[in-house]
Amino acid sequence: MHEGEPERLKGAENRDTQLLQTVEAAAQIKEDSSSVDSDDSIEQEIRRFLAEKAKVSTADKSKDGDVSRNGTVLVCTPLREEDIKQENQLAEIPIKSISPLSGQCPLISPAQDRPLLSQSLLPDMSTVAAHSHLPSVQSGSPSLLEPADGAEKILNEPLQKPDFFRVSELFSLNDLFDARVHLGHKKGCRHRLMEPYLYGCRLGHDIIDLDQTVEHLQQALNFTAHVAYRGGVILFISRRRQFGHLVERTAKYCGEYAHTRYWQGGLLTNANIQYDAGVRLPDLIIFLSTLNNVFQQHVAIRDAAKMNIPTVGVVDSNCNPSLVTYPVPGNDDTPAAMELYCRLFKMTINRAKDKRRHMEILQGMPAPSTPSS
Amino acid sequence: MAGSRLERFGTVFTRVRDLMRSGVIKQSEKPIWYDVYEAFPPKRDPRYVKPHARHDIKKQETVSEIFYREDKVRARFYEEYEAEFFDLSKSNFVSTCQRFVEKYTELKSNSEMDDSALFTETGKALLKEGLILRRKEIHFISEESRSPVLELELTDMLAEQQAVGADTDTPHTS
Repeated sequence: MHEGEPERLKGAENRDTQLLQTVEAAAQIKEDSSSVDSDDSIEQEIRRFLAEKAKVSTADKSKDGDVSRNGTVLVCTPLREEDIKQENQLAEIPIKSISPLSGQCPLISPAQDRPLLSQSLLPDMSTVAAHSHLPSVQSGSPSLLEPADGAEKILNEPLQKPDFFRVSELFSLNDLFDARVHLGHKKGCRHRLMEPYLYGCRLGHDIIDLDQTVEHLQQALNFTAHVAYRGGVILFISRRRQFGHLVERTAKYCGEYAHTRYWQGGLLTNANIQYDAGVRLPDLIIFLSTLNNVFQQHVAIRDAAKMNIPTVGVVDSNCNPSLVTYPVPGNDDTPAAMELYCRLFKMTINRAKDKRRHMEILQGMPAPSTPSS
Repeated sequence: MAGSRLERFGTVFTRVRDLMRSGVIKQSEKPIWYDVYEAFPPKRDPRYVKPHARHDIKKQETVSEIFYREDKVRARFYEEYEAEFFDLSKSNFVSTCQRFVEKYTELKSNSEMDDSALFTETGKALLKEGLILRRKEIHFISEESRSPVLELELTDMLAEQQAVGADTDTPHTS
């Protein structure tokens, strides 16, 4: 059982499987080290393995070579304890140190690589996440450690430009008009809070101001692109039966998720019980129609606000836009309009993911073997 | 994970920001979207708006009606002529009404006639171009027009009765 280094680790995992109820192999290492009864020898083996890996990777890459070697031995232990404490508090299954096992991304050092870890993990995570709910503590900026420049640059560079993903060239006002996005409901159905977004009322029909829609849609697409770029989980919601299949198809094409069926009460707020204990909730929810089938606001809008999840939503003239983070005033009833939205979201998400892969390749980080989209 | 489920206080961003400031959410647990929101905030803060309970506040018409100058012409057109079909599948489709309106505005800019004369002029001009406008037939239901019909019916009935009277002697052969 304990022949080679990797196999030793695997053996350790197998042994601890009954203790931990995690699905992912990688997570077990962390749980291993976090439990009070962990074997010291296993820890030492892990550290040795990581150190070896670090040496191998520093031979390949010249980036943070010297520093990392110094950091490997010293910083390793305290950092991991910190992680342990954090993760115990979080009561989530952490996956920070997946990379050594996954074998796809060479590590510089566990300490330094926390930012790199999360970033290089993302492409891997996206493949795995497609099949199981995986928690991950995403570090937005490596503030605690010496910043690995590549990872930080990857994250921060897109934020500098106003339209890094050039989403404004994906659609024009004419496209919106042709897709009948400007057509609202009748005057009697109008929601008080939608009045600022309306251009006027033509013989009783509300007309949505497309100038405002263009701006809002650009903002929404930009936000979606950035979240997808950072490997966020995106959930499409629409309770319109007419477009259920379209929405599901869109989500499948992007490599993201969709929920077009009956929304059970606690899906977001009670996720820990309705799903697994360490479920990762979506990082962005896109509503292609904010109403449910009885013309009331979809429960998920309120729930997303409760769970601090930003939302992007197409709000028609009879919807309440107040809780939607990035509302897009527009028609949600016409097939042409819905197809336009689905196409736009699909294109932005795919574009963002492709960009991410390109940036990683440019930075010299390993490209994932199986991209999810 | 720590969170704040108060959707009616502040926005998603302010709650997460304050939780981070107070240290409940660590920097490493910062959500993915936080930096993006900071860099590109929405036009309007997504705060919860309480619905107005009372409706006796005078309703301000903030959404204006959309009317065009050509609507007057269109109204007259539909009074006089029959409406043609609209083919909505073509985005550049021009209906007869629209053509009428365009001709009308053209003539109006060129000549100085008054409205009714202009109206008839446009009708003639369109006929010349080959566009046939069917005049709307207005069916009056008034006493004068009904009586000839009634008369015809009565005479028919009388004729029938006389025929029947004549036929009572002779057998029916129909």
